[in-house]
Amino acid sequence: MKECLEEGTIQAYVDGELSPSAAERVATHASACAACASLLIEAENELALLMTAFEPELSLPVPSERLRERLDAAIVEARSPANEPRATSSRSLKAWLASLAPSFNFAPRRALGFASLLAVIAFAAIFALVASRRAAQPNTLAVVSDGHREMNLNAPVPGGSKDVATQTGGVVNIVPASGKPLGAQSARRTATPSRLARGVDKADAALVADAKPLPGEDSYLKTIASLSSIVETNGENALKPSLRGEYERNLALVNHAIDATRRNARRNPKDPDAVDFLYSSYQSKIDLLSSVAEQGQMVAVAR
Amino acid sequence: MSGRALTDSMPQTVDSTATPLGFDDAFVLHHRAVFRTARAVVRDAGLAEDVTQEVFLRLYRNLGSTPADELLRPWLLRVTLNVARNTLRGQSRSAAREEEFARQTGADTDWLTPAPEEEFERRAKIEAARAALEKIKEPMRSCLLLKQQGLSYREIANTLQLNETNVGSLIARGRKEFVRVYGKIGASR
Repeated sequence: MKECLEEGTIQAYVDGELSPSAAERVATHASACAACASLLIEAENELALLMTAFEPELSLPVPSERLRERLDAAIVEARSPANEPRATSSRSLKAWLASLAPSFNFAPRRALGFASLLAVIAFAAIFALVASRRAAQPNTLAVVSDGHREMNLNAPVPGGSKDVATQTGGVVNIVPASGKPLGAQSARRTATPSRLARGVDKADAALVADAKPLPGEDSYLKTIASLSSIVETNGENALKPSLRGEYERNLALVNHAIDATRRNARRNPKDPDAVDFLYSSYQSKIDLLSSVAEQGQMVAVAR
Repeated sequence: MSGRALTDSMPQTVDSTATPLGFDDAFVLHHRAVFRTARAVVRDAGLAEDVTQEVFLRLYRNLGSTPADELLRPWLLRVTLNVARNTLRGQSRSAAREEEFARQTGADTDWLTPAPEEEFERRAKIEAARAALEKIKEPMRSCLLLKQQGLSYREIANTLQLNETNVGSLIARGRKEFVRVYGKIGASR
């Protein structure tokens, strides 16, 4: 007699999950093996009991209409300008991301790889942007060589901070409403190149810290904060050491991309490309954190 | 689902004529499975509505990156299980006490009005099945739960990120455990 049937095979047989040929082999074996025939009958009976037990639950009504109404209302809310940071995203970028969708299946390894790809692309885009801006720099310098031009970052925000950002050549400084420049920036007209470079770093830090968030940036930051806390709770522990290393590398890469794109977007808040790159970097981080958080939940459940 | 896959185009209004066809199709086809799965986990119709809303909002927000066709339902139910479990974790102690009270009294927060004897019996049966299911360890429990929603072994494997060849034996073990626990609960009532 052939080997007896495994419980999984018997279950698949009664669930109609076997191929016709496999099902026939099971039936043939059961007709000659009393033990397996008995197991088959037991499985069928227990399955019937299971169906009976869950029948009342399954017959409970589903409030389809109310669910749809609630969902429509929630979508309207989500689409309001404050909650729709990506409304201005370029169609071409979204279409390109959509084209990658079929290969994205939320498995942690693939998600991490996906995040790496996004981070690399974000870097390439940033460098391309920076390179194009540097190419345009001589013109800017010619315009401002006899002085400086002022750019009020906070103009669109009524009642906001009165600090004024000034740009001299490639240097951006923050000037308080009092008119006195902050710290090292006071020497900007006579600064040596090395002092100027230090000024850039400080000014950038001040710019990132002081400038108002871009429209919709808040929701990205909140999402990242909440995902980060989930990952800290149980996500990272769920990863194998090799994957965790990859996750940390990707996270560092994405964080770096966010820093670079944020500086650029804060300098050029009106430039839709600069803002898009920033939001793309945020999205990369959200995707990475989501995949790890989800993996953490799955593993936590499986324990 | 229609041949048109989920698109990344964002609807301009919520009017069904303007929303992407794929999103509407996905809701019509899968909201029952999502709602029932959520209700089986959170054991409360109101919370299950919240979970369902969150799941479809996530679908809406990720229209460009969610899997389409036969992989969509597993994706939706995986998100459903995660959101439902997070919802349960977020429940306050008072909610937990209410649930315990409902369990002890045989009542369910699904119903707020007094019920006739027949209805009471039906509620008791539902509670017994839910209580038995809750005693089963993961991932057998989720396998049974998803099988009740009509998912194939492949979909179950995809939803729970399992090897498809293991699904049959997981369901078999879950089934045996369920029958054992359900028998005890039935005998004690």
